[in-house]
Amino acid sequence: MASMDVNAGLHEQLTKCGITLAASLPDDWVAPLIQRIEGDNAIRHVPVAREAEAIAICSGAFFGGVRSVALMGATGLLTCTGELATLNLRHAIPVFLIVSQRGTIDDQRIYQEVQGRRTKPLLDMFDFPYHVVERPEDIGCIPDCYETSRLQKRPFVLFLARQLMKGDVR
Amino acid sequence: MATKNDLASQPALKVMNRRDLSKRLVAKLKRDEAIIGGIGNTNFDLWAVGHRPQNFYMLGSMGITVPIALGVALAQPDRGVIAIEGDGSLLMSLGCLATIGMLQPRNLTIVVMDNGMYEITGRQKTATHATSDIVAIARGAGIENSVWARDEAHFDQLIDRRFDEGGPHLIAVKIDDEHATEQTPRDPALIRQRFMQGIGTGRKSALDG
Repeated sequence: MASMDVNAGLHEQLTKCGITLAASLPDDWVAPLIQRIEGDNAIRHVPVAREAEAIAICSGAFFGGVRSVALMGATGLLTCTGELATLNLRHAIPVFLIVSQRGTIDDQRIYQEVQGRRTKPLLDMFDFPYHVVERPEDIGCIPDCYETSRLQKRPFVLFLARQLMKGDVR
Repeated sequence: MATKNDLASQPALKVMNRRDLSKRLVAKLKRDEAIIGGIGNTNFDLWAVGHRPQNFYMLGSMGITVPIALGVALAQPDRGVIAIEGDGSLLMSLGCLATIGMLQPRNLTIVVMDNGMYEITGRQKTATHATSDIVAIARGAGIENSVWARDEAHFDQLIDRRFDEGGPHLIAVKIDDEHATEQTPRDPALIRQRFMQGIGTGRKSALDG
């Protein structure tokens, strides 16, 4: 499946989740999805200055009865684990994050390798649920992931794998 | 753009009291406006002047009161939403002012209680004690309706309006360093649940009677 089709599929699944607000800070893998959302009049897109802002906005949207998603890169996820723990875990507030899974063995970037090694262990430590989407045919799991976040009232991280987002492009 | 010198050249800003101002603010609310209270003394005083179901008292997570309020404001555009935040907390996340300046949510008001210090940890000084002017920063970020309240009467005048239109607004006040005398209940999940009931999105359980 071409990357454009993957992003169309992701967008379609977010719509199935009932999402009407998206807060984002781009990394280059999720940027095309953000661009699609920006063009969707049914989803209010909020570009933020820092990833923790996206977590807070989505939490406020939950208070107000609106379904939302926070989109960011793996580095951005590391910057807001404090807020995810002290706001979302402490107050039992669900938040759904879509994050590029940077730093895997097929992503040979020295500035991403720590994210690749340490992000999942960090989420395990906090006991935040996560799921990695590696193939286009797995995109349909997103509504179940979203409802898991709502059920558990915790952050849920949906990782987008390199093969899914970039194919064979190096 | 306003500078520190502009602030110095304004009529003198009276140093007021957070609890008194919180009481004045709450007394003006007529439309079930939501309030997001920042950590520490800010939400302790909000609690002390009388609990409302539409108050959210944040325990921890310094710096994100204002973007939480933004999320509520975007989700419920017909409800006035007020963030009460301290200077130290706001300095942690000045980028959110730029986001608000860009979005221009008409139902969001930010009240900044500025005493130039991290009061709860021992009154260590913040940058607003020295060089930073919160109102100038907010204006520079695109929140045109940003103003220092000169005294209590001016504060009353600034908040004597509908909160669900005409924003965003930022009202900054210089306050003293008096500690709050009461503290909020320490039950974060219950605070969240009751707040959501207060703004019409939380389900009552059978256990609530």
